[in-house]
Amino acid sequence: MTETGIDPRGPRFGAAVMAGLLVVTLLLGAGPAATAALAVAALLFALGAARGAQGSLQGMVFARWVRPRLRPTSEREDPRPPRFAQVVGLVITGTGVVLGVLGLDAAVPVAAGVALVAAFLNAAFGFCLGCEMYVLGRRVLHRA
Amino acid sequence: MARRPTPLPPTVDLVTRAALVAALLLVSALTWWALTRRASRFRPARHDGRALLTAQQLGSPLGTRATLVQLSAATCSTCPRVAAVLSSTAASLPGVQHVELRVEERMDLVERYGVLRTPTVLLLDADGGLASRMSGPLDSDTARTAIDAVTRTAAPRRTAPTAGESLD
Repeated sequence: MTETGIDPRGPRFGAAVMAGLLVVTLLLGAGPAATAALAVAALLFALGAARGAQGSLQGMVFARWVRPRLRPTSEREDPRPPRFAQVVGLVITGTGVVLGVLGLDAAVPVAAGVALVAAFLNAAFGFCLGCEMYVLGRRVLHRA
Repeated sequence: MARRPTPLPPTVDLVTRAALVAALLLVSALTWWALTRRASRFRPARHDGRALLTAQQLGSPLGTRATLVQLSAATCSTCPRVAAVLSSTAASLPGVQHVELRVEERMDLVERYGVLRTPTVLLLDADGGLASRMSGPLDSDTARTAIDAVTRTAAPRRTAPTAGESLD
């Protein structure tokens, strides 16, 4: 279908990296350190949202160091679904960072928790955010 | 986190947070497992069979025995795999059609059938009545079993649709 499919294991690896970072964020609780950790997560999501999951930092780490160690696969996936997930991740973590900076400390662990659930399910079970959220978003827009 | 008058020692706090994170991951994994397991089975439609979908409404001819209507999205990584499974399954069974539609183009069907996620597969009987539905990843055996169930019970259950009927 698309001329440039990507290795589906790349986004899963990236999700595992993000899940680790978000666990660290949650362990830091609420405060400047947690907000900074969530800001790093938002930055990584922003890169993935702008360039696609394969162009994110974790995607490049996968291509450079992880993929050569894995068995080659001919399986390819459309890059749009993982990119959509990066955009959603950016919105969630970005909102948490902004609210945290504005003084609402509790928003940081809440945003980190929501993003962690999605990243963890993606890494562990292949959860596809674009499968779950796109129709709901469309329905909301359709009603409005 | 609320400011406590007497904060817990940092190590205790860290253990509490780690336990909360572990609980969050466990609950989300179990919830996800339960929800997808339920959704991935073809289950009988709750809609009653009176609201038939016509070929005109579908925008594509109905299969003479059954039609698989797949609602997909560009953001859905599972959709192309399910489309490949369903189109080859339909091709191997006479009278069975597979129709893949984009949700953004068919919000009428999304609303009508209460579609919440992609891919959602609606299995229509020969008359265009919704027999069963599922969502998520799908293998050809599951699809075949569901199609068999529909075509076996597809005997003259209803009177033939008259022209212009099945308006919602």
